Amino acid sequence: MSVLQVEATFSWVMVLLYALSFVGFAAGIFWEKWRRPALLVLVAAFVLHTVLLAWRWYEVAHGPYVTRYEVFSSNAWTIVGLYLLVGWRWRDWLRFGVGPSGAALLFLLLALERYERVPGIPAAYHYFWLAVHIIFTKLALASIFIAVGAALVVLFKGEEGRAREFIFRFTGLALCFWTVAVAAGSVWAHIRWGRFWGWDPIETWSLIVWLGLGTSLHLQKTLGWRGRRAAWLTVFMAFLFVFVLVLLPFFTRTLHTMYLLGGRG
Amino acid sequence: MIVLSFFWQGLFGKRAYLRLMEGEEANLRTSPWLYQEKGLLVRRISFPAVLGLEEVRLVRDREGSMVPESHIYLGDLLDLTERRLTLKGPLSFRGANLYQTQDWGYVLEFLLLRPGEPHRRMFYFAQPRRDGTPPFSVQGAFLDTGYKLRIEFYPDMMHRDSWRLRLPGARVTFERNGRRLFSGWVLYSQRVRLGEDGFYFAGISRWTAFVLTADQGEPILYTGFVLTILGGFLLYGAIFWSGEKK
Repeated sequence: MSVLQVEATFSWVMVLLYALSFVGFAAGIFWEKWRRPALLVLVAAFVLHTVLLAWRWYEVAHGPYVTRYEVFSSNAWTIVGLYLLVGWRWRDWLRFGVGPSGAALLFLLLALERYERVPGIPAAYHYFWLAVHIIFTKLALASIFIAVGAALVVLFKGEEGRAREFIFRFTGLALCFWTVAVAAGSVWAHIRWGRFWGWDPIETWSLIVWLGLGTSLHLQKTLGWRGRRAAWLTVFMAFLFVFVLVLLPFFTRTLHTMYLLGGRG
Repeated sequence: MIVLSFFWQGLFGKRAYLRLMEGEEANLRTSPWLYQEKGLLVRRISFPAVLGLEEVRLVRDREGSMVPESHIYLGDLLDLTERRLTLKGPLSFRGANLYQTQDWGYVLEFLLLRPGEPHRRMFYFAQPRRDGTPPFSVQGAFLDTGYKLRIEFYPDMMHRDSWRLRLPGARVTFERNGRRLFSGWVLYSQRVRLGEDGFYFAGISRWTAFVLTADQGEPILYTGFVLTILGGFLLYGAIFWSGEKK
């Protein structure tokens, strides 16, 4: 049986597991006993996801960044992976899983909306800097959705303290990762096309996201935006990420369209 | 530093787009089409070399698209170096970078045969459709004769979606003073008679395009990137780890 047949079947199992985990974490905001089963289901989904992505990588001989399925599925995997990694080190942060599990479910459904077979790699993909660009974009996305998990706890449960700290730290981490992603993309563009910046809509909006993250951090740190205001700010930033990486490519035909949506755009 | 690099690029950066056909040679010291594409001070690029295009090869990338790679020669007239240029990266030469672009097409050569006059010839750079497939289209005047040509070129008339040169031909429309004189298929090496004048489809070769850049302010920009990344990680990384120790 080929990876594609297995993947097509088990992807829906993953959707089910991520959905169950999301419901569990959402209930866990109010009733603590739901958190542990939700976490176990999320770990099971992540293990299955890792096996399927690794198998696909081996079969198609390139990383998960060419087709739309690969791009969105690896986004989901990175979000859950970073969340579990952080949670493994700081256990009490695992209760903010509603953001990462919800984001993973969203991206996996987007991935399955256009499931594609095995393509080749366009010539423009053969660069180290492109890999850095992609990896750090996904890490920034994962960071902001982990911050969203804490923001939802603040918004729905009114909890402060640890959740507030969590929002600030992961927004800061998202800014660091986004900076590296933009810089690496710029270096790649220079090597490939002889220009650092082309003002293509995704590039322009990525600058807006970068400025937005910086503004958000300054508002929290220097102007004392706390609690619900900081939480709404984080949700807004996550929406900006989704706008740039998911919605914008549908409306514009640019170089990034192909890379964000897979195939020829 | 990042902002400064944009000013640098605008003031001193040089960038040019060059289109060459196989067998053509450009003296980059003097060619008038070398100019600063972006920037406040429009001026020629001083690039002391000759660039010649030997051959454009088409290779299929793994996604199935045809992409060009060029065999070029570069240097001084008495000291030329042969190089291969691909989409994978630029060629650095005497402080400038030369990039292969994805643009390519066919150059169609037409001769005007007129009794009692020497042959006159014209080259037309035909471009493929947006998705890179035939027909390769171009339109333009034939020197100062008053003739205007509209050409849709197919490398293989038997297989119209093929880019391989097998049975090349074109649908050509000739106009003069707003009047259509001829419209029809012309195979390679065929002649079209228009009164006393005769047009001969004399040659087919390929063209491709290059981007030439210099003084883009790379050291300033890279320093800016490194400082921003270091600053970000020092500031927020420190907060990330120090917060835990409290």
